[in-house]
Amino acid sequence: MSSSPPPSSAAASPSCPKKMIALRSSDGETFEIEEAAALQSKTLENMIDEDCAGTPIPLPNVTGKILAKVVEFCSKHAEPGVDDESLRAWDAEFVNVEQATVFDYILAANFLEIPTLLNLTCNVVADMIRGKTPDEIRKFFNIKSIFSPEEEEEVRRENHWAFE
Amino acid sequence: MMGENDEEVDATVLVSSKHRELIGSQVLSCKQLCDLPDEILLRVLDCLSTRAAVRTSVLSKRWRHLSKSIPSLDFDDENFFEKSQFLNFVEGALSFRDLSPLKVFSLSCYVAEGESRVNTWIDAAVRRKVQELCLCLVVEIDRPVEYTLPYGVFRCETLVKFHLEMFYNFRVPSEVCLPNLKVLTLDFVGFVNDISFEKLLSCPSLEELSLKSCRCGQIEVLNIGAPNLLKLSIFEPEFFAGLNRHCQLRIHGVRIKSLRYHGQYGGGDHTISCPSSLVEAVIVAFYPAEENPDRCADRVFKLLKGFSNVERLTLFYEGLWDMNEREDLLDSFPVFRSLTRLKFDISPVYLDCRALQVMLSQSPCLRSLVFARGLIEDSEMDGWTLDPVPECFLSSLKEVRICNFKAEDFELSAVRVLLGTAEVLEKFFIHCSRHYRENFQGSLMKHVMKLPRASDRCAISLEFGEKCSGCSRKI
Repeated sequence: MSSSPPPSSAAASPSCPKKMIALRSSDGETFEIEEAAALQSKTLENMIDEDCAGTPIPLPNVTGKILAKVVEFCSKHAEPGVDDESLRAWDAEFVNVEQATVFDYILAANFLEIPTLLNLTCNVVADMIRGKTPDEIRKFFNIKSIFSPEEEEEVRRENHWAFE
Repeated sequence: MMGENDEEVDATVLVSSKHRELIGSQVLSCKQLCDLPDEILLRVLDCLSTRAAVRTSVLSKRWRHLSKSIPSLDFDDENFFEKSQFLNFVEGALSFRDLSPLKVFSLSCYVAEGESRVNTWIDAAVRRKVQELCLCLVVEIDRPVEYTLPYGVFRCETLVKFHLEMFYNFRVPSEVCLPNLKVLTLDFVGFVNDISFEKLLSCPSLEELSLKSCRCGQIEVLNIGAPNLLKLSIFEPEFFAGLNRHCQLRIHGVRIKSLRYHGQYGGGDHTISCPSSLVEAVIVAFYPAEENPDRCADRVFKLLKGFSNVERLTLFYEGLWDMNEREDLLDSFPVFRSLTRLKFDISPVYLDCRALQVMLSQSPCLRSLVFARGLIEDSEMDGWTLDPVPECFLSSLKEVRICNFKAEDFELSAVRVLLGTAEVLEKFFIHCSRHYRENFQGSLMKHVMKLPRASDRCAISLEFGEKCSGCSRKI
């Protein structure tokens, strides 16, 4: 019935329109993102000038497909008044995608320095590892293991304590 | 590759701040886990338990190499059935791990008497330039004396965060050099009356300090000298004589922004002197049962005076009303010049209490007023109202919140008074307790909406249910 009061440090006062930043992906697509959302990325934060006109920031390392999702993530996380539980549910849905896409999110989050997205995606991968036997992990991620018999023996000796 | 002006440019990602251009090498994309760079795989390993992370060493040569430099080590003897298993695991992990810098070292275990192994482990962490050290040690000694941590801990240049939980006395060596320590939390630790302890509390980079249930019984004056301290939290559970009743707390850092004090404020001359930089204070002070009301009034006056510069104040102190009969104190009540948010955690608050009215009158910029455990008006006079109306009610008070509302008559009367006097009010929240139906039949909302409002912009919200959204408290 009642909503929680807005945070005292609101991004923009009601009288001014929200500042939009334009981003351009590797394949030439342009995306608009609110300044508050863009500030989730430390890389973008360093590049946003106060007095610069709205020329698109080129991001030749990120495709349009991924950049669109990154913009979506940052915008959601900059939304005021979202409670923790629903945000977590939204995050879970966001990363409910195939492996390769998660890796692309990780790389984009790492490059753009978005700690929330990076933590989320790394945890997703960790979840995929957790609880699996080494063989299962190798199969799941297609890891080629080329240990010689001596090396394998050495590895076994080295970490037997981790398997007890 | 060639840059804009035909100069040789390194084919890595460059940011030219002047032109805001990124000259990248190629699109960042990969299909397989093993295509991710080492730094990212280490991050992933950091999300796993130490055991799971180390087990990945068998996956491949690369993973063997990576698992030897996992950023964090976390050991908890509760995860092991037998002590010997735990010991083997820790020793194995420490000899397995290379000497690359350690981000986090966390150890939680029982320490048998004369056990020097734990100190060896802690030393191993210090040698690996640990940044965050978290120790929860239970020392099994018959006669509780002192436990000596390795001195290397107190000279660790890379240490940024240190958490120590150890229900024993510990001595700080005379040489303390922690130039990068930013966060220090001490739980249940006992300190001997020692200058070195103050050295620990004076670290040059220290920003956050938390003392929880610490015992410093002998100390008369606790000097918290950290010059860059921003946040201080002191917690003593009820009936726990942690700090000496006569202990004076002196905060020397002039940058402190936030103070949380939860304890028995009120013994003797227990003073908290704070610089004017303080923005936020949360004070939960238990009423010392054996003191006389006059002394309590003096004390709460002194307390409030000390915090008269804050912007946000949360107060739990049942003895506030002891000031009601003290004209001398009420006449010289401090002005809370910067106070914008005032929250009372007292159960309940009496609106007709003189001391409260004086406090409100002396808070000219107040914007938000919260009564987390209810508000009542006990004047027993029909149509009682605030007289004079506090200045902030006429010019700045925009928001009022009442929690744990049981809809009793004297609560409804208090609501009536607030609505009838706050002229610029914009939001009035009431969070109703589960039991309000015992006191009120019919539509509460309708009743409240009918009450005369001094502000025509005031929106009224009623909230029901167990959890109060404003103060995250379950009613």
